[in-house]
Amino acid sequence: MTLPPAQLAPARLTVEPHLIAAYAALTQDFNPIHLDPAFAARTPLGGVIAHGTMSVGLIWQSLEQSLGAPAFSDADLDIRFVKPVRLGETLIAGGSLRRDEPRTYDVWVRAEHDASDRLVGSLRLGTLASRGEMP
Amino acid sequence: MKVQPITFADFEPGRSLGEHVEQCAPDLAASWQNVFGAASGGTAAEGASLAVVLAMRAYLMVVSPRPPGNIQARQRFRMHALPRSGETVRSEVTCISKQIKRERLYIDLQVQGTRGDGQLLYTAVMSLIWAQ
Repeated sequence: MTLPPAQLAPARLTVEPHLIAAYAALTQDFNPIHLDPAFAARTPLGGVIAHGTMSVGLIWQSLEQSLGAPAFSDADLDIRFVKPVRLGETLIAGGSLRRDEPRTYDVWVRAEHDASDRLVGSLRLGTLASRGEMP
Repeated sequence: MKVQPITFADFEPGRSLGEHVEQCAPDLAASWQNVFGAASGGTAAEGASLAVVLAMRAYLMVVSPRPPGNIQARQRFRMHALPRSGETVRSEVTCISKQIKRERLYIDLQVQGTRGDGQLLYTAVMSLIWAQ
């Protein structure tokens, strides 16, 4: 069995208005906080924010680049959305293998410009993934 | 007639709120590639993302109308198997808990997706701060 890498490969995405619109259409989530700058400016968030689960897609890309398709078998992702993602931000997803839990990564999505977290959590690999098998 | 939004008081832990059945259609994958790039097409990351998308769509279809201002605080997502292009996925939405913490209204909803033959695809738990 090959040991998982200590770090997940970074996956990047720059959040542009047309991507938020495309993600809204994909999820059918047309909440004006994501799409209407005038509405969003009047909320406590003060402006448009991206859908939280858009960042989750980056975590999956990071996982695939690092460990391939078998890593998705019985993967268990547990994340908190800690800060809104703003228009124009470039996001970087990644993860570090826990020393005391050899099948669990601490994962994050950060904004490149200030390196602060937008999403944090854990990603536990399934037992099949550890053996390199597909579901 | 105006339909009132679903409020915190309406949720009953343990009760199924309904289900949403839809095809994991090729156009969903095409839409995902519009966001994440065509080079990611057909990958496991695309499949996993589409499972998340199906869970979100089921939640938004079943739990409606919602009050404006809800916030998703946390999400747990367990991937049992990846959805296949073209297959029909049945997603059931269940309220599993609710509580008030520091004057915030927390709702936990489980969305569980299965294949036509009953095989489990994913189990998502969304923790939401409900607006009213």
